[in-house]
Amino acid sequence: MSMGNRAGRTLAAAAAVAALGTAATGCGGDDGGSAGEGGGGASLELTVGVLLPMTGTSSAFGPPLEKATKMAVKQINDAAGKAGVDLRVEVVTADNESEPVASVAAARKLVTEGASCIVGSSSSATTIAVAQSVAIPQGIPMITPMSTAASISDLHANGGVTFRTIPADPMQAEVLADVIAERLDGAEGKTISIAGRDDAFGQGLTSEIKRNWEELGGQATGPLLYDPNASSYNDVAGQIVDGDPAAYVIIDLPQTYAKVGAALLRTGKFSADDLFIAGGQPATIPEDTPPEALNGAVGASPGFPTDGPLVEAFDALWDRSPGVEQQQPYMQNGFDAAMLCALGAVAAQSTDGRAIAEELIAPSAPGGPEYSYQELDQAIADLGAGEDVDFQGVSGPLDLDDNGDIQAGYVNVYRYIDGKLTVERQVQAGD
Amino acid sequence: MTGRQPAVSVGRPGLPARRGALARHRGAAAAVAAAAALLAAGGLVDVAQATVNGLTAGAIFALGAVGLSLVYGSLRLINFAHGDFLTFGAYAALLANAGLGLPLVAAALVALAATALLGVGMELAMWRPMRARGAGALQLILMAIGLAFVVRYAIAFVAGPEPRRLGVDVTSSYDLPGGLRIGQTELWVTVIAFAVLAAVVVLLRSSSLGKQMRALSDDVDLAETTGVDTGRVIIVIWAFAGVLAGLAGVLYASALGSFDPNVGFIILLSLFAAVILGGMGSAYGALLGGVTIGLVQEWSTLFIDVRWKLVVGFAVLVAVLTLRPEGFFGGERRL
Repeated sequence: MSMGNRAGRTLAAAAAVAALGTAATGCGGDDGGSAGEGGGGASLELTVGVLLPMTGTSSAFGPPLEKATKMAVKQINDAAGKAGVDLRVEVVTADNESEPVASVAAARKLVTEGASCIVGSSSSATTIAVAQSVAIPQGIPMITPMSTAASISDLHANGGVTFRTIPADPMQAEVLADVIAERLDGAEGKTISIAGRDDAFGQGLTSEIKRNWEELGGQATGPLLYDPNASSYNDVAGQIVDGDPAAYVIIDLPQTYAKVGAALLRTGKFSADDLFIAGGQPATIPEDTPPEALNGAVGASPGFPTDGPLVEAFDALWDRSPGVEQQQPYMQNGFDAAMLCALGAVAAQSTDGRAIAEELIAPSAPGGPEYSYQELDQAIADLGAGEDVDFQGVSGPLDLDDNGDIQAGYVNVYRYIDGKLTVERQVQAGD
Repeated sequence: MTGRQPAVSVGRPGLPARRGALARHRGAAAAVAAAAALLAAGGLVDVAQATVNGLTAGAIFALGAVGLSLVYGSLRLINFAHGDFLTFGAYAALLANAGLGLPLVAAALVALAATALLGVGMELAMWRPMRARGAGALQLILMAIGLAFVVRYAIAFVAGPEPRRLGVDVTSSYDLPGGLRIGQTELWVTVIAFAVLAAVVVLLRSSSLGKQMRALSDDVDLAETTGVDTGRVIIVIWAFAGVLAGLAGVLYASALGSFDPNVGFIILLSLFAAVILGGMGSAYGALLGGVTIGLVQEWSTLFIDVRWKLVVGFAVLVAVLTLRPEGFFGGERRL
């Protein structure tokens, strides 16, 4: 990253701010005028802001997400050129430090730099904070590629600016409960121990899993929620293994689980072969986590198609694009989220946040011809001409519903084998 | 928070003694009631296990709190950077261990020396000049908060923000009699911490330097008039606080297994609680306060959700202070 490059980007961002400023004063008269049926006339200079967890708990996912969103933007700009649509997309990024407060500050910075559509944030707690403090009050659409908490669906009623390209928790929880039942030969009469970190991610998933497990006829202790910043975890570990449960469900992020997992092993009763986890986890067991605390664990995470021509094309694109080499979960969702920002802007013929938000659902919802990123130029041309399209993401068909949630998606069932996360199969879930 | 009241105990010798006895009775009654409640809630094994866990945490809190209290007592400086001194110790050990290839014990000793140097260095570079200019309490507090951020982010800048670990076994544990368990590293941590705490008590009680440190911590003016070389003793106090903070950092990082640049800041509040509980400025009080906070936090998990244990520690702090505002060792024990 050279100084010239950075200076250029700052200039471009300043230009985008200026452009946005004039657009905002121009459209004081309100919405009707922005439909643009005639197609393709207006020049669109969109700045997409990306909240990246470069440091903190989710830091494993930051660099791949940065690469994925930049890849997407390059595709968009190339496709817009091919389609003859006057659209230029810039990316600005900020580190959200995997923390709610820092995420809000980072989101404000992105908006100051001209972003009118945000890809992010990472964990559900950070997304909820950004939604409440920045996106909803300022009318900036945000599309999270990582946050799965059920409560985010309810946020959409406030201003209609929150979206996601990742299946929400209820979908993962349902699949995980089925997987546990399958591995324990049925849920009837089996007691499992459920625990998780005390935040939106842990609270949401643990209660959903418990509900699903009890619907299958099983019993559960917990959910035991713990402070991710506790000074020790022996007490937590002792309560998790208490009563010799048939299986453990622990919903956590890698950085905290390194400490909880070590404490679990010290109880002498814990085996990771009985452990079930959820959510995207790193591709290899992190260096600070004792391998025995995670190796053998089975998990469910929001998935994405793993074969087919689109996957192969995406993998090839990934390999020849600059940035980190190692693929991680969520990068496809980040790629798709950046795509949706641009498609929304084209559909709205505007780079105004509220206008984009209103047009974000239609381009991916069923109806109109199906296009993937490989036919992005056609999708942009059709949208620019005021026609409906059904954009297909690399993370799945997308098909956003009225809450900005994915209606149907894939859930990966994975297992840590020899320290590596291995996807064992894929389940299609949702309606 | 709690003012020191040496004048009261000098002026009216009878009263504080009676108050002390009363508080002691009340304290004993409360302890018996708490023990009964604990046993009823958890059963013997659970209580014993929580006690083992609490002693490990409490020993670390105590190590961290002693230095914090001595510094407060002698300089009236609330050192918000003290938690980051712990972090500094942990990372210094990591650097010496993983970076320079020293064995862990040697690396830990290097870390203690480095943290002591940090403490002394900050005294010479910041605190002494500020005192010479007559800086007020608020200025000192703000500087301490600033220093905390500088230390923390400097560590993150050099070592990276990602979690690290020391080369210790965090997964093995020993079976103790009665079905109790303690982690192998945690056992070492607890034993070392209590041994050092015992040595600290002996040092403060018996050595001339220890007595001078305590004298200074109790009353700077009085110590000065009786011929204590305050400048020199203040340097010793910083070195002493640094060594203990560095040790607490290394032990805490070892017991926890995984740590990042926020590790010391996270337990800073518990250290403050220990200092206040023990009586601001009292080294013994901080020691006892640290162990108490550790035990109370772990015992609370037998009654209440584990996620609230930090809060329970502070609730007990408030409760104890309403009964005995000067803390365990504040007030009349000053003389």
